[in-house]
Amino acid sequence: MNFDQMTATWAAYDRKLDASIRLNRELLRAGKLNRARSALQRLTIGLVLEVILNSAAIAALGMFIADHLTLRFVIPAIALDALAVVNNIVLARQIVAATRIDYGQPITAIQRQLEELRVLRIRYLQWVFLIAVLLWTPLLIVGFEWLFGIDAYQAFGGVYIGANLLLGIALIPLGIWLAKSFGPRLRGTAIGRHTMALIAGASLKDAREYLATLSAFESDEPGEPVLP
Amino acid sequence: MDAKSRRERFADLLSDHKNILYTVCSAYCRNPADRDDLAQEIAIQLWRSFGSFDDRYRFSTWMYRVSINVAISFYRREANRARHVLSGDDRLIEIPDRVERPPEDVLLLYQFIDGLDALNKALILLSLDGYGYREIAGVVGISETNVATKLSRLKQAMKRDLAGAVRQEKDAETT
Repeated sequence: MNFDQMTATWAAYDRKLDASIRLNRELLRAGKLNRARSALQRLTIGLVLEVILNSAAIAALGMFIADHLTLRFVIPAIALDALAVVNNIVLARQIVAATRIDYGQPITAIQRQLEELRVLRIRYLQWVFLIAVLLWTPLLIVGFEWLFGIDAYQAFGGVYIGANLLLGIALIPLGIWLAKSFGPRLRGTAIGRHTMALIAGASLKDAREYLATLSAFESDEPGEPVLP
Repeated sequence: MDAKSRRERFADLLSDHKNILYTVCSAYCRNPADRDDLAQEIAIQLWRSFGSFDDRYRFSTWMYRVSINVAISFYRREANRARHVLSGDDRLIEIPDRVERPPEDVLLLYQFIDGLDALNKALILLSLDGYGYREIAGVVGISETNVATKLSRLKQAMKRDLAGAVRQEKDAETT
């Protein structure tokens, strides 16, 4: 059977299907689609919430710095504040990228935009995971002083705080090694597997490979149809 | 146009082109539960993007663009995908059980499409639906020459695959 005959068979089946498929018009009429959110909108809402929380943290840290003008507190608070500001910049870039996506544009262009957004998001989350390990020490100093009025330097001693910082640095390569070695074998939840792939760099590798596939598809490179 | 008549117009257009929704969902999702989720996700995105639809172009072409873009994203999100965007009872598309089984050729065609990657699936679906190289190039976002080259390769692969499947069937019948 040649392609033209195949197209005719396909069209004939399509006509039969048309008579059988029923579209739930009530659902469309009732305006339920107005209340539903697409995946991209859900992501954008999540990003905006993150910006709001981050902005609140920036304002709170600013107040903390103004109340504790001594180097022992200003340095960890500024470190946290600076990270929150950088966080907000990266989040804002993600929001702009997400809101620019128009699904009515050509497939390769939109898929590239979506994957570039995914790369941005993966890099951001990797950065958050890695920095979170280091943030523990300044968070301890600022949090204890702010919430309980306890000076962590005096309560735990400089050696403990220094050791925590060093341990945090040491945990980064250890975490990456563990995720790379054992992550793919984990069976647990999808989120767990997703997190492991993110830390191990597998998600980023996958996104880059997909971008390369898109580039190859856009060019006139000869080759057999790619199987998934 | 007020909100109600806009919704009516959207419902009319979607109803007239519901086969696209079915075809795209069937080509990109094997699991029927995922297919329902995908159909809803596509409908939501179509509605959200409806404001940017330009009347000068064919609705079906625009609908293919949006639907395939959503389907590929949905397919790539895998475990991350959100289920039940609308409540469980709200099924957008209903296909009664009495629909006759597709002819053997169409089943083989679906089998072939199933084996393709997301982008080549888009090319073959549009081509089977009778779109010309220029229109396909516009939907997919590659040059016409590229469309022609890729489709020629796909058609050859399809011919080979279908011939192989038919041969296997005949062998099975004789043994």
